[in-house]
Amino acid sequence: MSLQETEKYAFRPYRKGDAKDLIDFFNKTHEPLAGFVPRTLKYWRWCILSRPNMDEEGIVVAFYEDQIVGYAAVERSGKILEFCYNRNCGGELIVSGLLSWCTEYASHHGASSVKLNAPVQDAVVRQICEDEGFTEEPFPSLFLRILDVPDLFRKLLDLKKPIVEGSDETILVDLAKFPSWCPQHVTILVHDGQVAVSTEKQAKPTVRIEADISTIASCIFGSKCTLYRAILERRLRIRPLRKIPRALKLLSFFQLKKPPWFVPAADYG
Amino acid sequence: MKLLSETFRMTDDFLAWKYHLNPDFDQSLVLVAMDRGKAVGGIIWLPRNLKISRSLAVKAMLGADLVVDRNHRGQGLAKPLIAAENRILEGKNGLMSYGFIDPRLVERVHGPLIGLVEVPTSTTVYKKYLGLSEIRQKVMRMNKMAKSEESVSRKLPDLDVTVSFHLKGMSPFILRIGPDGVSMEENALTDPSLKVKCDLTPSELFNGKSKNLTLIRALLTRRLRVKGSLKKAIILYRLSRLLGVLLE
Repeated sequence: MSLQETEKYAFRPYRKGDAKDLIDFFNKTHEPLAGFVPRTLKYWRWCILSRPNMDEEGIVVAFYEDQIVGYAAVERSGKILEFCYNRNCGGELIVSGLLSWCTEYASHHGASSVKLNAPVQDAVVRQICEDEGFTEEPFPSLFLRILDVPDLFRKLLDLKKPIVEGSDETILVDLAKFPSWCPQHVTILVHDGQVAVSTEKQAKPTVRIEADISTIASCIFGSKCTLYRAILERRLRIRPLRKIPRALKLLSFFQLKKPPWFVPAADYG
Repeated sequence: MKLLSETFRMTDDFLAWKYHLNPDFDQSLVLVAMDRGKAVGGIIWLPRNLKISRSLAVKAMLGADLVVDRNHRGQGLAKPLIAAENRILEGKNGLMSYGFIDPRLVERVHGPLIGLVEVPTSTTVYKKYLGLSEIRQKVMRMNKMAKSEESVSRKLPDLDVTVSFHLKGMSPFILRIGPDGVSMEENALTDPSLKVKCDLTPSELFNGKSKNLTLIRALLTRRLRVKGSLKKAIILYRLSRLLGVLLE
């Protein structure tokens, strides 16, 4: 591919020695998104350079004054594995330049189509794709299950460090339908406004919650089921009833509010 | 691996890359079902560090492939393979497992067995067709199907239909369906017996849970328009299995 200039941006194919900078750029760009698999040199070499339908000529890098401002890695079949650009630096020109390059490369190799995974909320990519005659397709459904609730609860608490007003509380959550080697219950302790998680079973909890594996996961990942709906459908049971508002407040600390999951094509299939 | 390559049409190179060359591949996360010394099913997980929110990364297990030999399907072999996740992932310190799975399969099999839940992603796929080579490949598959499947081949001898397709994101093309099978013309001067115009992409038309409902809705909202003789349209509907290949 020849060197192209889109006004002040330069586009050139990958060169040996670019890998580290591209990995840093990818990690920095995708780091805020859920679904992000951090790139190491070893992982990137495997998922991009060693891929059977891929070669180094399928990677294009965009520069602005010697600074990397974007890159794309495309298979000979037209599947764009990674697509990154600096949103703060002429996004439209970079996206358009990278996409044109990928389309030309795929076309040159006899691909029947070009496919790009992008975050739904990326208005720049959406606009350019519409202008370039791309159509939108649904992304495959993503399913998950939690294997270790206490550990996940602990990590979420470390992250949010909530302060709770009101009396101390000992909440025992009975986890139904979890694998036998997983903890079958988790205790949420509220003491002096601090919240902690333990796997020790308390003899006299002040609140008792029962939920199964999928209800807990649905509540945490903010999918269709909300905490309230789970209670109404009796998939989440809280005793005594008068403690429901307080228990829900505490459980809400463990909810991830609709994280924007983004999965580049390099990470599956 | 042979089973995977046969079932999913993966090349040996691709399989070697996906698993043997994968720095995260762990042989203890592979389960194989055997019948009289022959592998008839299997399931493979790959461990990964995964961000589940803006600032939380966890160790997760990606369900990479689940496969059951064609001759052993419908015998309930997938269920014990999926249920084995509990045993295989023990001691691997994974906080969660995840995968990209057909929702119909999850509803029937995975859901009741291991309690998977769907996570709404904010990923979308943009696609641009480069010419009609994809359709040409599909026409080849349609002809293969017409030869191998009796339910399709017995409908063809009395047929002579030409259908022009104007689908969103694609150049127009004409399919001729007749006793010899299916052929495609790009710039045909033929006056087609049926004209199909649609401002939906093939995947939009075909990815809904109920394909018939999606088709009816598209017809009612006039996003899908079929012009021509009603008799030919009914014949075409009866060949929906064959035409389904076009929309995959």
